[in-house]
Amino acid sequence: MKPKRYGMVIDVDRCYGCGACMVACAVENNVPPPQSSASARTGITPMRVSEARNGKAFPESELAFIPMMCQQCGEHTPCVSVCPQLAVDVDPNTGIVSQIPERCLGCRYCMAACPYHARYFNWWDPQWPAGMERTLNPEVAPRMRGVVEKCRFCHGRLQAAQSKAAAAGHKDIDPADYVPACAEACPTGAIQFGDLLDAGSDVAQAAKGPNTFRLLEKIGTDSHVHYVSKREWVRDMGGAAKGVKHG
Amino acid sequence: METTRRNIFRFAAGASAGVFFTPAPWKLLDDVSVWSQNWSWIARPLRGEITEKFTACTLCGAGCGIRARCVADQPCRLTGLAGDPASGRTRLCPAGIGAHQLPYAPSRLRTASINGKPATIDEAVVEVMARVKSANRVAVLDGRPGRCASDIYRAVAASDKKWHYVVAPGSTGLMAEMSRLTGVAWGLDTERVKTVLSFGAPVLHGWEMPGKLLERRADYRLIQVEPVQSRTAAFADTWLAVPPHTEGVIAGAIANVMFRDGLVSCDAAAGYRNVVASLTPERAAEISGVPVARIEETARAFASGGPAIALGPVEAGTLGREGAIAVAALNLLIGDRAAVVARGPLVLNAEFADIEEGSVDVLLIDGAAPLPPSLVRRKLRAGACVVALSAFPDEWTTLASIVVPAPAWMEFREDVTGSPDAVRNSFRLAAALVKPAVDRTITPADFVARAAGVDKTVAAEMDARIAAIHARRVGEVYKAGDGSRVELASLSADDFKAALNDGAVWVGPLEKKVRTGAVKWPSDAATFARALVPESTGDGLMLAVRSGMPPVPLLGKLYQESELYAAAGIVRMNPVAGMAEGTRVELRNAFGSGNASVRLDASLPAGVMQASNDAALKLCGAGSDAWRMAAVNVRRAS
Repeated sequence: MKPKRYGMVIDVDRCYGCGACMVACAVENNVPPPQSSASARTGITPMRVSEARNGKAFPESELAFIPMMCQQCGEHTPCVSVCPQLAVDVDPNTGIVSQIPERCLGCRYCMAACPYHARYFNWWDPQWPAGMERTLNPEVAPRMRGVVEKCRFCHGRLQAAQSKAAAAGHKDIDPADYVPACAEACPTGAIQFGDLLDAGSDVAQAAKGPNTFRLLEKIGTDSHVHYVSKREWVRDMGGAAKGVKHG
Repeated sequence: METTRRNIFRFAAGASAGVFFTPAPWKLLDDVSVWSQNWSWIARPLRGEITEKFTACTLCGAGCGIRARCVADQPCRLTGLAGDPASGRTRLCPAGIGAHQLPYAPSRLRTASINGKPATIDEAVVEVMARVKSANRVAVLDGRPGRCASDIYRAVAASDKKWHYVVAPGSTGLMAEMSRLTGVAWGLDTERVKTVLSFGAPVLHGWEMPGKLLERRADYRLIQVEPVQSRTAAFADTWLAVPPHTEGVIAGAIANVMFRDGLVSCDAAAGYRNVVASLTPERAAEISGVPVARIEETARAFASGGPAIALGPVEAGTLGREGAIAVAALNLLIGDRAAVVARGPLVLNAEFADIEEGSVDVLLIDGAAPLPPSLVRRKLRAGACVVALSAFPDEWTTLASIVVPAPAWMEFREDVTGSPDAVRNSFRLAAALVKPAVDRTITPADFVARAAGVDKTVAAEMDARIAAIHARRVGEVYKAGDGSRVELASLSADDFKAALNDGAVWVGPLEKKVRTGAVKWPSDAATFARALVPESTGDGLMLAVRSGMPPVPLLGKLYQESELYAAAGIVRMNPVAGMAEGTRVELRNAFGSGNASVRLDASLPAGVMQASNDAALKLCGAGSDAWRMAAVNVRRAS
């Protein structure tokens, strides 16, 4: 199998903050509904759309929505470096930063190390209203209280695609078989997903296009999630990671 | 080694230190981690055969086709149908994505109640029958007209003069006002449109219609006329920020400019010239603060940017009737350059607002009808009985004396007629894919038929409608399973019914020769122009936003865990109001009072507030049709 670098290119100017990606992510990954006392800090939103403004008053105010998830750092991955349990690793074949909840001890060192605040701690046992547990995705195990979780580019879908390819006798998966839930759900097509090493792919070309940026690019994590915006203030904010409201 | 006390301690200490250099403690730690994550109380996903089923969403009028991935026959993932010709969207909204969890929402109504006391459905039927017997007027309010259930309501109304069938404004789509003016049902041609002139329509941020405009955003120019910076306004190519309730003035002024500059290309529009004669761009600029040049530029962009469309809000709440007419008229002025398609003769339903005031003895409400509660109260006679037929608590179950639990979506088979603004008629079935999570429910139509003593069922009406469609033998059938399309004429009646039960959709032909009647322009120009101009008193204008979202449990992620949408009990206002973030305030006006927490938002104009809960809606009077707006006084809550 050829090594891949799965990544995303998110067109911020096409994100209108509908939240379809967030709900699709929660459905796909068996994230439970919020506890009554959960907040923006203590809830679990592996995909979170944050609102950002240019800081000007009416009517010059401008608005942007930044879909935020694990940025899948390719270099000096902070969470990998600090995990005492080897519960986090970068898969060399896919470039995806894994998270193995069964190994996690819940020390939350990785949360402190993550510069993107993209990791969430399960403060409560996962609970679904009576009967709703029947709607859970059979390809993803629910996580228990006391472990950290994050976006894994819908690893259940990757495994399903790999199983399908193996059953058909192919080494590589069909790219159409592996699309994370958020990219599949986005009604405006703002989220593109694919192999950044495949120079001919839309996502690889978009990542090299004009007006692209990566969050906190200066810290050198070589994240695999790229953003695009024609608006300068959005690019400046993304580079400096200032102004994104985190609840 | 000699066995001494000291040596035993040495051995123990050495062994303790040495064990950390073996895999044992780490393996133990791993095992404890794994074991502790498989507690018996942690839910486990169902196991079973993975299958795909096809259905349609009935949570709003868009009627989106749905592919349901099921495990052991239980839906666990819903996605849209890209090739579906009748879907309002090809990708689902957040409510649709999580809608398979809706039947299990903790807020479900589980028992009927009469005057707040638990009762059985049979008792509720008997109570309603007794009230109907002594009533002079009984009204059935249909929040989603066009279904087979609506046919039952019509049949009930036809069987007895005291029964009246009415619909809520807005339930007939974005083009409803245009249809009223012309007597023709219009569809919105989203495939061709190049310019969208929107007067508060939620083109980019709505849950409901027009979803396909959202998906085709790159293909048209969007001009948004709106008082606040909604998400549509924020991402429009041009945003005309106007004071609340002056959108109609702008629409009238645009029409005025079009007449003045010879941009009108419809003979039937001549009757409108006098109506907007006084709404010159100069006068509109004076009222709205929008420069004359921008109004003229917008008029030219709309008239020459065809195919174009002018849209008002889904619920004509902030425009009022005259404002909605002014917007609809713009489409008629540009004639063939409007991105609309005549769909057929208009099926005119009586509207709730048309009912005589203080005349309704019994009101049965099916669906979340977008109406101001104060208007509903005005129509009721003293001591009237309101019956809410709903699966979930809403503003009507709060108002009602009798509440009857209805089945939730996916728990029963229902029909979907597609968006009222679609260019082609369609029909499909939404299958019952899950076992009812609540045992004792009754569909609103069956309840009304029982209460009226009419021997009709929705199932029989569905069969009759399927047979009627098949008898016409026109149109095509799209089968979601394999994406194929077949002519209806090539299918037998049984095959057609079987295909519908498997999730197929029938799409009618484009109607080619629909004749529009004479346009009913407003007759009194002075009254019309006066009604477009707002009046307000109080500390500020409050715009109430009705979320209209079904209580899908996972939507708490958007409201509570991300704050992507303002939760209930929040009022947004400009910092110049002098309030601090989080201050508890009381909003009060002639219609009542309510408390809310302040959220500062510099993107709002000074003097305008936005609130998004039902309590805020109660403050919005029904003195005019512009009921989602109210002048309120603001005080710090004690």
